[in-house]
Amino acid sequence: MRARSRGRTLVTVIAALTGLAACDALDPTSFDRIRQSSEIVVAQNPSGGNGATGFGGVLLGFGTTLPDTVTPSRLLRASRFAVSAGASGPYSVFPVFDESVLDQRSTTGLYVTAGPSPRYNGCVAAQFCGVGSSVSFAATPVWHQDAASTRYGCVIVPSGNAIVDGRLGTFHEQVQVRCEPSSMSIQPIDVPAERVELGASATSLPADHPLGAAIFGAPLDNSGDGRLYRLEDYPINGFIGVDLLGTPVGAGIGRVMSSVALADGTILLATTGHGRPDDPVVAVATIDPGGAATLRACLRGHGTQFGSALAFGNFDADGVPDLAIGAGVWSSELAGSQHVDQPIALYSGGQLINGRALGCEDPPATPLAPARTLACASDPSAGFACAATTNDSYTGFGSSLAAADVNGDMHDDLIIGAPLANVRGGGAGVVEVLAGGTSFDALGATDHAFLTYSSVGAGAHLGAAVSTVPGVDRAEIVAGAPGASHVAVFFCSGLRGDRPQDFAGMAGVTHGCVIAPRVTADVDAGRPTFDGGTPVDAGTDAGASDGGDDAGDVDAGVQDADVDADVDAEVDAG
Amino acid sequence: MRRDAYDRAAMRAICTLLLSALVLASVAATAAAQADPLEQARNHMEQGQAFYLQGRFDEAAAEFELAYEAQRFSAFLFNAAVSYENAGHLAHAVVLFERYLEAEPEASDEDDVRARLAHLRERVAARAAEAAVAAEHAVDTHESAPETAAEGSATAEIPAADSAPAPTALPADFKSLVNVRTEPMGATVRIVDPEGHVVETASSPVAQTLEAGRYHVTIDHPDFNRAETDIEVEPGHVYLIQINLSQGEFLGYVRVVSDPPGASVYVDDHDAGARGVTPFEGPARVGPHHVWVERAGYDTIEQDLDVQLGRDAEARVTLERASVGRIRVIGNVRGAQIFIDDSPVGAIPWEGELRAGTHSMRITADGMKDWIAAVEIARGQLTPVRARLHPSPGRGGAYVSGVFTGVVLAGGITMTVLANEWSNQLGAERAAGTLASDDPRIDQGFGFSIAQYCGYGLAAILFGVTIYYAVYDDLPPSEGTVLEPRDWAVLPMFDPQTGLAGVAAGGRF
Repeated sequence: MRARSRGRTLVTVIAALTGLAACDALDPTSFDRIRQSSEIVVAQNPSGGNGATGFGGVLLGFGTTLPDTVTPSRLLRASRFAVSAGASGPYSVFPVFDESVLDQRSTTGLYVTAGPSPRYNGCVAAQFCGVGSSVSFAATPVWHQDAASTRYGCVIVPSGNAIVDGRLGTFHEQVQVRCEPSSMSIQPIDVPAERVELGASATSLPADHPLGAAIFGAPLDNSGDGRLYRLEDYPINGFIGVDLLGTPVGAGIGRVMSSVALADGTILLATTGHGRPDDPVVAVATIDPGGAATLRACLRGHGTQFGSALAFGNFDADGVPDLAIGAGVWSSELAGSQHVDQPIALYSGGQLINGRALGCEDPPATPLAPARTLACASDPSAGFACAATTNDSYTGFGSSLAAADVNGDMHDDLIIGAPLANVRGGGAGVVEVLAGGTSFDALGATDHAFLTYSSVGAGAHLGAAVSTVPGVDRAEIVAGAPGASHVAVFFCSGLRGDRPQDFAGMAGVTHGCVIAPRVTADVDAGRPTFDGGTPVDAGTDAGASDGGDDAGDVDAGVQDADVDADVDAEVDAG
Repeated sequence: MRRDAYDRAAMRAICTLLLSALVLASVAATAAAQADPLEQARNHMEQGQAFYLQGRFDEAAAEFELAYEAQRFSAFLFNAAVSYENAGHLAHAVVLFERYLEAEPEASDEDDVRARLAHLRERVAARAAEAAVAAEHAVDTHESAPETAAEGSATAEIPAADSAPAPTALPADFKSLVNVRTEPMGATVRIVDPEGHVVETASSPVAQTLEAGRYHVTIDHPDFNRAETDIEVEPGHVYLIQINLSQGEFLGYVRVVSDPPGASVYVDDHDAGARGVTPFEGPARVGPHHVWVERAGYDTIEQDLDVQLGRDAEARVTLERASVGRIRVIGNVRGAQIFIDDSPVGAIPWEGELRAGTHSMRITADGMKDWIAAVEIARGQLTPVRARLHPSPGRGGAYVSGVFTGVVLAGGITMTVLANEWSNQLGAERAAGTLASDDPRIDQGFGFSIAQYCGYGLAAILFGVTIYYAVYDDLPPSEGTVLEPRDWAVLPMFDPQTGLAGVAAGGRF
């Protein structure tokens, strides 16, 4: 009798527990929804040949066009980012948006991301991945390999150690042009000069620009003064040197570079020269479509790393790109060290494009003052503390910069990397976003945000590289975390009005960032516009340069060519 | 037949009414009595009497002295003294009379004896004087020397007188001995002479020297009825009076008849046990009596009876079936627990009393299947129940699988808890805008949620197995038989192994 009673009790208990547990059981697909609704997509270092440490140290986001697989004559817009671990490593290209997907799923303006798997991995062959390879990226939406072959969505990346004349080549003797959809079609192009670190920096040019596809820096060329090379498309398919006359002797320009196309096709370019360690110089020049370069200004600032990051953006709403210059530096060895965070200098584009070698004297007689300097500002609520004195832990504030409209308010915002910040762990790093406005003073005054993510940890160095990729009506932030071999795509800028929000009841979408869907119908295709983020034709002469079709615009403001101490050492050794 | 029994009982009662036995010394003489000093004294007494009547006074005196040696009664000294006197041995006679007086200082014939003693002394003195004169004349006479020597110094060398001729009867003053014994001892014995004088009052046993005559003997005992008798004492005899005292008397009969017969009858004292079974009859004192009539399985009847002198008191009773019945449960599993109306009552084998009517009975034992039955208990009858329990299938598999079910279920619950915890954490990260797509908790939570369902699924399977093992049964059910009720009786019981005695309710299957 007792045994029977015990048996009934056992059955009852088991049944009750089962019922309770089943009621509280969690559907496994809920975690899929959680993953899909995460606003931060993290691309990890691909396995197999591309597992170099420091993945995410060099980053370039770009927009491009790709032929429709169904109707090849129809070009669909897409955005990608190229990422590598820095010098001497492989690289990968990841998708972010594809217009075909947008057609199907993004009519509401909600962002949809492709998976974190790379579109392709570059530099898989040893002969193309030697010393110095993948140290910088440029991209071009269209590349004419020859008269009959047009490639799309191309990445141009320096490569080394090529076999030249039967012997192992030396540093940066080639660049590769690798395009989609036939990503295995690789076109190597020999550099015109050896041992000059050609490709230490790179900047992209708009599609079908008369100057070519990209401009590369060669800081050791020209007897240490540095030189620029532009890579012309067909029929040349080769490098043409660009001299910036008037730069200080031994400046070594071309170490860091950024550019933006003006409305008339002129390229406004800034490049840093660290040839003189105690006197870094940022040279600003314009290159007209005919190839004539004019030195506009030589900028000097605080610290020895002045100019370590450059970004063009329209911060004062005058329609002319302005220049942001960072003075931070980072390496994993600097985590927890005591250095003072240096401010970011903002220069008005109107002054730059109208200058005539301002401050280029040696020593400078007429230095150009920045329109504003952005000192590092602590935010205890975000756990971010700047190094205002040498007793503070260094954050690397300004080690990387990017500028784009990331919250859809039609104003460029400034993205600042602080890879050594102690947020979510020592040296985990953080990305700060300053909301742009109608003036330099408005930058960050109304809103700012610190971006990090849940899987980042100590030593990740998030923000070692930052960039943006074109999205729907705005740009999205991409940031590298080489300490964790991560690249994170932030689909929410964290700024006011662009925060995560549930979308209950919306079919297929449970979560996302909310901004007013401003999908402007394309007159011809009826497709949503695919804004590259930096309005190249905004303001002064909208649509004049490319006939109103900005589908092929490349975000010139996202170029990021950070060079860390290791690269410098290798360069010196070379 | 009953008349004979009545007569025997009446005779037995009468015999024990006053005297259980009156044995006269002259009648009772058995070999076994030879060892009794009183008997020896009596024998010497008789022999002495015989010698006396034959004129053989010396021998008679010797027998009387032997009798005194056997039983020191003063009567023997007196009789020996008389014999010596008649034999002419006056000095011996004087000595014995003196001893008599010493033994009976308050003897009723003291004066006579003293007078007689004085007379004898005178005669002895005269005889002594005569003997002295004769001695002077017979200095030379050698014939008298031996006689003088024979007289001895103890008799003061008094010459013997002439012996008396043989008497035709014993002298009237010859003393007799009366010995009164009672059962029980300690009774007060009073002897009264014909004149009404109390001769002796003493506690039994009593030995008294008496002269010839008629005496009345009364025996009193606080716990017994008085006993009285008259005795005729003749000279020179030993009387032995044995009286068994009695406590009461039966002057009536009790009769009890029952339907059905065979009931036990208790009279006055229930604890004393049954006097018999119905039909019953037995003697009883006159007066009121209380009677119990009991029979197993029937209600007890009590009744008062009034027994009158010489009349029977009869009780006729009809026994009614008791309102309870008995049940006896036996089975193949000794020690199996028995529940009557869901209350434990005992273990097999078990017998007990239950209220008549229908009862639910359940018999259970570890490892055996229960047997449940409705049992009808008949009034006043024994209902035998025979149970045969069959093994129950082992539930070990059920318990094992049940435990595994619990473990797996607990694992599933743990997974659910973890999955929910992870989900909550991820939800918080998502709300804060920091949720990364590669957050390891997403995969862990996914794994937890998969594991929880695996756990629940496996637990469900195991649960089914548990139920199967708990329910599956290929063994026959326990069985039993409720036999027809039957009469039962209380029987004496004796266990030779334990030496315990008692009663047992008996019945036959």
